[in-house]
Amino acid sequence: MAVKLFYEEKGLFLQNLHPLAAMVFLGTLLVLALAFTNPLYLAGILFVIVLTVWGADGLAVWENYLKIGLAMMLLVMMINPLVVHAGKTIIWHGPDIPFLGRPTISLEAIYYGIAMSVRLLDIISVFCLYNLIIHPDKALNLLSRLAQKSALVISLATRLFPAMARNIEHIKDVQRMRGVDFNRGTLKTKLRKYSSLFNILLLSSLEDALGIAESMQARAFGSGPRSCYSQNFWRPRDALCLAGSALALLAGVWGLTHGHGGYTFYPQLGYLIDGPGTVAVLLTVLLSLSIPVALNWGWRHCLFLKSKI
Amino acid sequence: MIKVEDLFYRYSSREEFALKGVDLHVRKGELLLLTGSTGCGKSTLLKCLNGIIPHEAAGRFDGNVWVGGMNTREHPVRVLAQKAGLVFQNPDEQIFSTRVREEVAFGLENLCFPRAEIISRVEWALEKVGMREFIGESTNALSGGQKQRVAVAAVLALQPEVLVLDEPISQMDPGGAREVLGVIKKLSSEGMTIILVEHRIHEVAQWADRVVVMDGGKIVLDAPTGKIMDHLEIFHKLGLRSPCRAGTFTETRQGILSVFQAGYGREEKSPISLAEASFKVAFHAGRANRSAGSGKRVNGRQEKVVEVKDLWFSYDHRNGRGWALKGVDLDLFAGEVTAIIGDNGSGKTTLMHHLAGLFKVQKGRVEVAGRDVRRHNAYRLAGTVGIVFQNPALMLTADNVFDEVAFGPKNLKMPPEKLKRKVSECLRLMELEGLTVYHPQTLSGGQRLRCAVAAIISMEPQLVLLDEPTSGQDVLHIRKLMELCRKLAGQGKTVVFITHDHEIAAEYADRIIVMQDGGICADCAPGEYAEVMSL
Repeated sequence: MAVKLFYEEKGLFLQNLHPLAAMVFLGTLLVLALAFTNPLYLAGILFVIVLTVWGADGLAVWENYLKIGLAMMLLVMMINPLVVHAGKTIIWHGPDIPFLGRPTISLEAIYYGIAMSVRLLDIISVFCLYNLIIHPDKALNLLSRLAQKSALVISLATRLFPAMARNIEHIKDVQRMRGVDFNRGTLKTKLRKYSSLFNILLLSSLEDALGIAESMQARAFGSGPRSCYSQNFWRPRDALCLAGSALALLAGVWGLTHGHGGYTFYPQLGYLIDGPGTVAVLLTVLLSLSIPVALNWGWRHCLFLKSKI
Repeated sequence: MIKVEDLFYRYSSREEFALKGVDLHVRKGELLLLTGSTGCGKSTLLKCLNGIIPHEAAGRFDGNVWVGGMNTREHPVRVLAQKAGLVFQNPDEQIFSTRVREEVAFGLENLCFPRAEIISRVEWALEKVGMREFIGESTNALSGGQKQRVAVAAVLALQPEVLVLDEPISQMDPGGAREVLGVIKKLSSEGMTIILVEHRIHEVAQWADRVVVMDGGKIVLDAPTGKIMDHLEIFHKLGLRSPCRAGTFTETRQGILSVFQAGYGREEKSPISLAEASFKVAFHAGRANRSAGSGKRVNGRQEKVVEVKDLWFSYDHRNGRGWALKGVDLDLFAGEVTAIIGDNGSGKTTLMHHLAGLFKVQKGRVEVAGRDVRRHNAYRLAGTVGIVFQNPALMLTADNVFDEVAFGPKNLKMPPEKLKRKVSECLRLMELEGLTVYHPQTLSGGQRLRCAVAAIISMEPQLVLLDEPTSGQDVLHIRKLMELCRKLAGQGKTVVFITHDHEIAAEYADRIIVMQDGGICADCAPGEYAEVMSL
C-alpha cells in the first residue's frame, strides 16, 4: 500500500505539466479549500480534485489517502458537536456531568463538523494529487530558486507522509505481535492504542528526515545560489492551467468579498445557495479549476487539441 | 592532505565530549581504515572533515582541522564539500532524488555548476562506479549495492580530494558489499585519498595503508596495516573483529586447514578462499557454543515447532506475478538456532513474516507450535512467536525502558509478580538495568536493539525471530546477542535469525538455510556450509 503513496512516473499528461503551473494549480485548490466555508463549495472542490485524481490514474492511490482521512474525518465530526454548544437547534440533551454540566448536541455543530471534515478531505486529497502529478525533484528545483530553506522543509514534509504511511503498518505489525488487537475495545481504548503509534511514527519520521537533511548539507545544499540540471519547457497547456488557476482564485476572492463562498453555521444554519451569485461564483471556480482535467481528456481523445497544447 | 590537531567536540545536547583531543594526519593517496566500537566518535570525526561540524551543528568545537590546506573553521561547507566528500551508512537515508541522473547532479547544482559541466561530471562519476548504464533509472528500482554506488558517485561528481565513507557496506548483502568495496579499491588504486569507517574490518583491512582505532572519543591505535597484528589485544579489548590480512591468512592457512581436517577427518583437495577460511575458523570457534546434540527431544525425537509446506507468496498476488516465495518447505525444531542467509530480495524476510503470522498465506501451509497461521494471525500468535525487526526504533513505543519491556507480558495478562521478575531478568540479561527510566528512543542504536529484544523475550515466546540483528552493530554486541540466542535455545526455544554475516552464522547457528530467488537452495549444518560455499 505504502509504495502507492509515492510519486510514480507514468508519463501522464498531468505529470508533464510545468512544475510552476502544477504547483500554482494545487496551491489554488488548497487556498480555496481553506478560504471557503460553504459546504457546497467545499464539496465542489472535492469533486474537481477527485476528477483530477482520476485523470492522473490515481483513484487506487486516493483510496489509501481516503482510508487515512476517513478516520480523521470521523473524529472531527464526533468531537465538534461534543465540544461546541453554540447552535440553537438542540437535538439531544445529555445527562448532568459534574464540573462539565449538561452536554448538548446541536444540529449546527454537527453540520459544522461535517463541513470541516469535507475540508479536511479536500486538503488530504490535494496532497494526494501532489504526490501523483508533481515530480519531487522538479518541485525541489523550482522551490529552491525561490527559497532554499523553505524548499528543503516542503520537500522533506511531502516525503514524510508516504514514509509515515509505510511505517504505520510496520509498527502495527509489531504491536500485534506484542498482544495488541487494534480491532477490539471501545473507541477510547482504540484511540489510546493508536496514539502510542503516532508518537513513535513522528519520532522515526523526523529521524529519517534528519538523515536526509544531513546528506543534503554534505553536498552543499542551502549554501548559496543553485544551478539547474533538468530543463522544464513552458508550453500552451501550462499557460492554460495557470490562467485557469488564476481565474478560479480571482473568482473565489471576489465571491468571498461579495458574500459568496462563506456560510453561517452559528447560531443558526444559513442558506447554502444565497442567490444566483453563489451559483455563478461556484461554477466559475469549478470550471476554471477543471481546465487541467479537461486538457488531460483532450490530450487522450482529441488529436487536434494534442497537437496544439 | 588531512591534518587534525587536538580536536575536541561536544554536542550541545550532551555533557560529555564526543571527541577528546584527536590528532590525525592523512597523506595524499592514502587509504585509511577508521574503526572502533559504536559511539566511539568515528562519525563525529567524519563530520568535522567536511565542515558539517562546526558550520551546521551547534556544539563546542576546539582544535583545528585542515583539509587540503584549508582550515575547516574558515571555509564554508560549500567549499569544503569539494575537498572532502562524505558518503553515509544507509543509502536510503541519503538518496534524495527519484532518478539516478538527478541524484548525482544534486551536489553540482548546489554548487551552481553550469549545465554542460554537470552533464559531463555526472557521466564521469557514474562511469567511475560502474553505473553509467543506470543514468536514467529510478533510484527506487536499484538494489542496495547499486544505491550505495550511486551515493558514492553523487559525492565523486564534486571531485573531492578526499573521499570519506561512513560504514558504506554495513547494511548490505555480500553481493552489494562486494560491488561497493570494488569501487573503493579501484578509486584507491587510482590515487584517491580515502577514509573508510567500517566494523567489518577483516573484509577491508587488507587494502588499507593504515588502521586507526578510536575509543571514547580518542585515537587508541594508529598503525600501518602491516603492523596491526602486533596490536591484536586492542581489537580484542574493544570487542572489534580481528583484522586478518590476506598475508596473515596465507601464513596461518596450514594451521587452519590442520584444525579443519582434524575436526572432520577430511582431506582438503582444493585451495580455500579467504572467505571460506574465515568461515571455517568461525565454525570451529563456534563448536564450543553449540551443544553436541542441539534440539529438544521428545521421546528421542526432535520436537517440531515450525512446519512450512509448499509456501508460495506474491506481492502482486492478483496478477500472479512477482513471486517472492516459490514453494518453500521447511521444518524447525525446538532448541535449534537457525540462520537464514541470502542476497537481498531472495525471500528471507517474507518467509520470516510468514512464520510470525504477519502475512496471509496465499498458497501452501504454515504451522507454528501446531497452530495453522491461516487461522491464527499475528495477534493470536503473540506470546508464541516474538519477532525483532531490522529497525528496532519502530518497535519501541513506551515512555521508558521498563514499561517497554513490560508492555508485551502485560498484554498477555502475566501475573504482576511474575511480570516484575521477568522484566527485571530480561533487563539484566540485555544489560539495560541502568537505563530503565530512559525513554527508549533516546538510547543508542545498540541499546535500542537490546531493548527491543528484551521486550520480545519477556513474553517468553516459543519461537524467536530476529531480522538482521547483526546489521550496523559492532561485534561485541553481536556476540552478546548471539550468546543470548544460544541460551534461549538451551532453554528449548527455537531461534531463527536473518544475517548477511556468514561467520556469525557459522559460529552460532546449528543450521544454515540459504535462500535464493524465493526458494531454499541449501539447508545444512555449518560444517557442510563450507562445502556449499566452495561450489
